[in-house]
Amino acid sequence: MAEPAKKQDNIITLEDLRPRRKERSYLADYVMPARHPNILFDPGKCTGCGTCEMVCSLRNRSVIAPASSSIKMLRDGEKGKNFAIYCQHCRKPLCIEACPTRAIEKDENGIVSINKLFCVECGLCTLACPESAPLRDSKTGEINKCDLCGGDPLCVKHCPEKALTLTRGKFFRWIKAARWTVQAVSFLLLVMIFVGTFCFFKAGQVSFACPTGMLQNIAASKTIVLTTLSATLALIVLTILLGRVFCGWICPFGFVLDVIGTLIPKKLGWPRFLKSRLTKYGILGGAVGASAALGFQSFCVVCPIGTLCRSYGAQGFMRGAELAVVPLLASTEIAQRRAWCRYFCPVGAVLALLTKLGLLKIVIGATSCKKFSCTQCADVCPMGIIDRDLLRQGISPKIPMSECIMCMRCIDRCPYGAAKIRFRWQKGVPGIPGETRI
Amino acid sequence: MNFFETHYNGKILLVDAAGSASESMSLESSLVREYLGGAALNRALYDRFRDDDPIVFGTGPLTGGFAPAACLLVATFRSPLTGRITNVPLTLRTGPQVKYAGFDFIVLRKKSSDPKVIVAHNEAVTLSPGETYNGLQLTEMLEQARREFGRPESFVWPGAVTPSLASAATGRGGGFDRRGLAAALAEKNIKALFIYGNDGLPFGADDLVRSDRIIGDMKKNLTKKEVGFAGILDRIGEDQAARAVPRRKVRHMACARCPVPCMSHILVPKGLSGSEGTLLADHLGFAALAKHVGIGVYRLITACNEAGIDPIAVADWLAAGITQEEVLSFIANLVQGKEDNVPTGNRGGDFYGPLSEEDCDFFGGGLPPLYDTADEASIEAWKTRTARAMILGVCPILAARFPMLDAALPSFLADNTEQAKAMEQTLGSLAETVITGT
Repeated sequence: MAEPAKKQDNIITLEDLRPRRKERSYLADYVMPARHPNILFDPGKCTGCGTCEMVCSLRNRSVIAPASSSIKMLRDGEKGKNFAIYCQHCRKPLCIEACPTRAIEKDENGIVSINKLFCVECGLCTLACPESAPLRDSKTGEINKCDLCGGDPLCVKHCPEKALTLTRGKFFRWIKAARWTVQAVSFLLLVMIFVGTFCFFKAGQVSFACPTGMLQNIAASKTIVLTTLSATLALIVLTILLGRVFCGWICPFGFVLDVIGTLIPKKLGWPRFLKSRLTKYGILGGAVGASAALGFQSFCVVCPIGTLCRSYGAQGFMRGAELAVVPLLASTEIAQRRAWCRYFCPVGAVLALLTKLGLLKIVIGATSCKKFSCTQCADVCPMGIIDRDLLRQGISPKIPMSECIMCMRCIDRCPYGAAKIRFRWQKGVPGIPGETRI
Repeated sequence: MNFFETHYNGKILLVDAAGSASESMSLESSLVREYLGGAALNRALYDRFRDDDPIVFGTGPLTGGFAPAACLLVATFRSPLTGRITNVPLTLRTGPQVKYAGFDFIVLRKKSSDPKVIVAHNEAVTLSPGETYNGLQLTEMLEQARREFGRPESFVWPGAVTPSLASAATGRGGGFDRRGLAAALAEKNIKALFIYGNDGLPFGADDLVRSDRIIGDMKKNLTKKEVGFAGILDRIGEDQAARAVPRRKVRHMACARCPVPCMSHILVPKGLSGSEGTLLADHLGFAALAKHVGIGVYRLITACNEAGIDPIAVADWLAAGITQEEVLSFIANLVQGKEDNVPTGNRGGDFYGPLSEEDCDFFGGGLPPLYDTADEASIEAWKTRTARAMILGVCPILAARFPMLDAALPSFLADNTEQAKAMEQTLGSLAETVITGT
């Protein structure tokens, strides 16, 4: 029996051509560069002159041949809309998964390109791509795909209307810096300087109270005192004006959770049966009911925010058992980001109810949003309320403002300016710069 | 001069409408040297095939290249309406597509006994039965073409109404045919001409850089107000019509490689236009209608574009006291082939000041008169610029708006100053012959 021939290093065999699991894990582990280059298309500025197609074809065929370009201009004369199809250099490109010859690569800059040496022009990448961005050259049969001209795209350089722009995202995320600063200062003030004032504070005629504590107080005392109600006004007004900004920017326990989340970025996962956002309303109802039955504010004993605010100094250390609740609940952060805020926090529940009257909303734009190719907003949202599946389907997700803690991570992270704050009565999708229409 | 190699495919397509055969002949370099291209070379080809009563569609040397607005295809034919030799400029993407289809000139000879549709695609041409196109309006015709041939990039359509009132269209906004191209096509029983291709066009080494520089200069002092459909109406003194075009709520549309769009898509409410929006491309037609009906122009211009009827003829009906509703019913009757009681319309208009009907034959009588009607020198300069643009294969509207293009455009065809001088001389004498029609 003849021995099987030894594999030579310079010959590609069928085994080499098969997709391997290793390749898939390569994508899963792929770390995107901090400033990922991509092209932005502004349909409001595009006149459909086709210069982008002309110059792009120079790179593919060295002649002017729009049919051979890696960008395709779709012109809808009836509706007056132009749309450009080009590679979005997805963070997790489906074309790489689909390519049987592993001809598509993603380099360290995040640019996805086809290695023509290995491409067999099967077209599976075109089928796999949600935007059909790898385009088949009808003349040569080759598959052409934008490789950003190595980082300096010709289409961007020559577009006479500047409808195409190259972006590398934001250099400095000022919202992130501002939020961490505000959170740290709030923590310092509420926990270490004005100890215990979050739960109740009175100075002369002015008083402040936690709204959940106030509800429990009413239930426990079975009397409604107007001054107690007015004491919660500050938080109520703040929430109506700015949403659950307290949760995202001020809450000291939220700050602790964010710190833990930053230190331990990998999450263990949260059990499915505990994934009900209605639980926090149940806890709120339970806390109010228990307070009515027991005659004191029962939840306040274990409230992580209140406990934390009362913990500093000798007084706090004397309540060792009460303080133990903080690390216990903070450990939920190891399983899922802001799990406490998502599912359990009754303070958040009260504020969530108040956001129904809120003036603001966050919208993820339809046209400037890169949707399936990006989903960075969904990645950074600590409350997990941006629907990644909808983005993958190319649909702008609606953000439930009662669950949004207004941390603005989505706005800060979006490299395309597609996530914006709008008034509740404004249209869902932000306007495109330069576009004016009825 | 080496532009013959770099700006032409070197092929003339001869289509015999009477049969189903077509052949291609090579474009002689001597012919190009003598006539350069466009309207001048068209005339030479017309004279060569005069016995077959041809319609010659010709590109210029710059058509399809990087020169600003290098989009022009010129049709030269004997007008059935006037009996004189006439040129009609065809814009949008018709010119480049002829070149991408592998040709430079298309000579449509003889007459077909039955309705036919011509498809020129990738160095081949097919003559398909055109019965299914009888009585179809523009949108229906495009839908039918999409079913049969995919999505043809460009077309010339003689309209769905009686040839004496029809205006050949190259897009949803109509065209600049007021001298009987539609009638000439109808005489040959041609229902539509579709042109698209995926071939490549060579170009001069410095063309792109030179073009970008010229475009930069053109846009330097351009204000927003001067761009778009209303910008042209302002320039030609059609204030009433310009007021009917909203300055907001518009999207400007451009022909191939045009940096200063002169078309606009208006998103008017459906009740006003009868459709989702209207592409405005025919400045004079719009102005003629707006004089009579003001904002009601959208409904009429949409109906005219859909039926392929000349808006100036319709404006003549309105001037005679016919109501808008009657006009719409006349158009509907004409599309259905009912010509009884439909008045004839005067298609001359009074836009060109001292120019006679014969004077307008060389540009088809549809271009906006971008000159001072009281200034003889201004009129002569405009005529020369228009003729030169129609020889070189660039948009005559852009050439007339930017006198700087007088020197800039020939520079694409000359390697040195000597050649440029010679080119200038040739162009000057050819422009004269185009204007006089000799």
